[in-house]
Amino acid sequence: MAILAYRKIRKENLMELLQKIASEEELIAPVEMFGGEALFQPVKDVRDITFNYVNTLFPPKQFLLPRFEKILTYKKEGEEFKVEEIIEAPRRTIFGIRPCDVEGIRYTEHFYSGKMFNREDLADPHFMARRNNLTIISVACLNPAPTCFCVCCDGGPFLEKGFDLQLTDLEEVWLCEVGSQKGMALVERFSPLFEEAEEKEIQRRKKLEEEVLERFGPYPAFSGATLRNITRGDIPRQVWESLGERCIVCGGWQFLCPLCFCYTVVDIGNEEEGYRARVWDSCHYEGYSRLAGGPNPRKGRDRRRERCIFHKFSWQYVERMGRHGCVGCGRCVITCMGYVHMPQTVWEIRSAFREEKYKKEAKVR
Amino acid sequence: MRAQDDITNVEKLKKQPTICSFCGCGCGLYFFPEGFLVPAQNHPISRGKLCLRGWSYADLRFTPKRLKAPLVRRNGKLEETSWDETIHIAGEALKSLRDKYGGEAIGVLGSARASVEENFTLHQLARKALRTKNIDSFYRLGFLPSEKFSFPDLEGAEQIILLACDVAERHAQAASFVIGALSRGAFLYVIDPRLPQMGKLASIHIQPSPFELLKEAEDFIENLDVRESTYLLYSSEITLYGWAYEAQRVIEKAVTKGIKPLFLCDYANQKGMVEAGIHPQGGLSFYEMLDEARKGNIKALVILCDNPPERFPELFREAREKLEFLLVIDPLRSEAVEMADVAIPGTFFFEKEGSVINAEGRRQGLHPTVPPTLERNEIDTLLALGAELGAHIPYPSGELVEMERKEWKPEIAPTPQNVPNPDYPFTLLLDPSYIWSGTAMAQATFIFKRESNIILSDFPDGFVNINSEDAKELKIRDRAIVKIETPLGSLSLPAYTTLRAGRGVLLFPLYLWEKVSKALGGVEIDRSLGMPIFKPLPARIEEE
Repeated sequence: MAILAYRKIRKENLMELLQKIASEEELIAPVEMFGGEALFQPVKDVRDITFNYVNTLFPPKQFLLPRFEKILTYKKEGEEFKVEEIIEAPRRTIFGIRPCDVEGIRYTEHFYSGKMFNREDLADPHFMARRNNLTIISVACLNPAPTCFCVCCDGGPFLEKGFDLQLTDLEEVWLCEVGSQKGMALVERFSPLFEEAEEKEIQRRKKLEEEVLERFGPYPAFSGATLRNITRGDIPRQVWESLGERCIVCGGWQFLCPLCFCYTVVDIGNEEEGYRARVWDSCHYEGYSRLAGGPNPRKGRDRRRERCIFHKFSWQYVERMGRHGCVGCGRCVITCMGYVHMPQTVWEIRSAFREEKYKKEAKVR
Repeated sequence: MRAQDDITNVEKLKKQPTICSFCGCGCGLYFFPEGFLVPAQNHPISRGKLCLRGWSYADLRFTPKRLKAPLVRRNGKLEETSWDETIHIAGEALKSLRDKYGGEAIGVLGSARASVEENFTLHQLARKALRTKNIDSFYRLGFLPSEKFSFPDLEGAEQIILLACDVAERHAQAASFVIGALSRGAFLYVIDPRLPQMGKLASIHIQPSPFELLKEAEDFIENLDVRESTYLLYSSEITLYGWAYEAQRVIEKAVTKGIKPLFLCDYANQKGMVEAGIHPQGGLSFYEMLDEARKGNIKALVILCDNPPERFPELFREAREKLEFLLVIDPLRSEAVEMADVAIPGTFFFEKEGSVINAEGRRQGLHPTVPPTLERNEIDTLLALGAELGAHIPYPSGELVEMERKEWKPEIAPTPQNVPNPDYPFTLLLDPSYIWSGTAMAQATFIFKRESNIILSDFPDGFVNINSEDAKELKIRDRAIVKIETPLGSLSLPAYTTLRAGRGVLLFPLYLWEKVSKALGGVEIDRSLGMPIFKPLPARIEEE
């Protein structure tokens, strides 16, 4: 979807717009925490919003796919059980979300809406209800963090689709790109606050996009070659073993990744009544792939890591999901306890093909 | 003022960090009432990283194992009762036992799952109201007094020695610091009869026999070319390889060579608990208390935030039968609560005000980050209990706790230990790595519960780990039932062949030790520490 329209909004008008949104529905925006970190939080007073952040450590996927979510309740009534579905989907607007997280939401939606299998009848009602009630006002990145590598992964720093409104800081005003009908409706509803953007401002945004590319840090993740190697399956075993030795199996990467959506289901209650909840899970945990009766096809840490990277980069998934499974937000660089995050993994896979000791095995395969 | 009075402004409180209550690393995290958490990025220890336990900590918010209301046992059944009545019943029962048998017949157990202030109040209650010296805690198991240090210093280390500690399994955040140092070019030396995860990354991995570990370590330290920043990491596991006396000698040797020793506590507030006065002060230690209770000499037990049956199921069950009164204050509905006469709900770290001290000696504040769900917290309960017993206990303000702070430096005395026996080619060693398995905290989570129960669901009665090469030589198949013989007895167990056990070493999980203690000899007590010690035993193995 191309950009529908260009507008601009003055800084004080933006705050007024957000305050109006906050009074009508739940506004989610970055808030400065006690230790100085910014995290996405429901905001009632727009003065709490911080603009002094590059990206939050947690992507706002919590608001689409809560870590702990009650999905149904059951109660015994006579001989039968009464089961009730719980769908909690308040109207929400997320402000300040970065392009990588917008890509993450798009990717997750592709899975939960059933589009991945061309089976929209399999859509997850809990996720889709929240997604349909969500408006995304993203803010393009002008100063990437040292850990960011979205340029390598087609996840930013500016986006062409996926958002409702995309704001770019042009110092005195915000340039506002309208990316969807929902965004268009929002702009029209609050039209006194917006102004038509001029051509020179649109050109300035394009120039900024080129300038930002110069400011990226030392973490490259050239996914193209990795995608090819993983799809062919010719990565030497030693690479996975070496990565597995350093993995502490914390699962943090999966919890912080804007694209990961694995979950497990737990039943809480007794024989009479209770509820079923959906809890985040990680493919790096041994119990995640353990089968009933004890056998585990991915028992070793190296096998689990291989599976995770395979899901993210293998062509069969890329084809179905429309993109590979990394947007380059750089959160795994911060949270990985064993320093075997995505850029490191990609680097080790690539360098394995340059090293002599692996070459023989790679060719045999 | 009650600590909970000013915690109505949820919006403000949500922004405050809290501390993970699992291991002694003390990671900072932001906890949200919706049941999710975010590691604090600017916290010096967590740095945006959390381990499996840390991430599962959020499950405690909606755990089905939560104790929600005070319970009193009536006609053999636990029934919900009002707060005031419960505290009155508990106060009366303790008062009559105190007046009848004297304070020495009452035992008090503190906890590393409670804050410094709560342990302090418990200590005051024991001394002033119950008039007993029997104050101790299960969480002191394996605790050795140590110097202060700082985890972030490890990042700049040139040499790191891991002396018999499986940091990846037990102190994941410390392991992360070690791996960080390795990526900056540090040398890692691992001295361990097992093959822990860090052993694979080490520059040198020494795998001595368990009987000779401390001697080998001493030799290694003697001959090491010590650089400017060399660190020695050790944990309570060291007490498995010899008595605390010998362990202390190795550490002293390291200090004279200019190595900085770091003792990794097993539990969140272990250090704070000891400083608040939860250690034997002329009274009985926790093991002796249960032992005396089993003999009928201890009549009542007061337990704060602990679940002794998770480590001593048989001993506690036998002790419980003889006890006249058992009071448990715990946020979790644990096995101990099910056995109690009176159970009073407590709070988790993310629900209370207070402070905790981690392995480094770093004092960290706790802030309630979710709205209060209970009428009272532990301090209120303990103060009310004190009033019922007719004693005035002061409110544990920061100044008071600091003023009354107790250093604990036991006189560690030498004691004999097992010797290798040429008739028995193997050594049976208790493996303390799965320390959290089977604990009430682990059982209260969803993901971590599943992970920590994997091995047990395969081997419900325990298993013995044998080296794959040894198994091949002795023709022992994986998961076959084997007979293990020691000079003290024998038993049958399934064998599990891995490379985790070194050559000539058999590993059995420590937390299941009661399953083998009858066959392989009972527990021995290190008198100077008052702690049970599990020693390596010479052993033989054959397939049945």
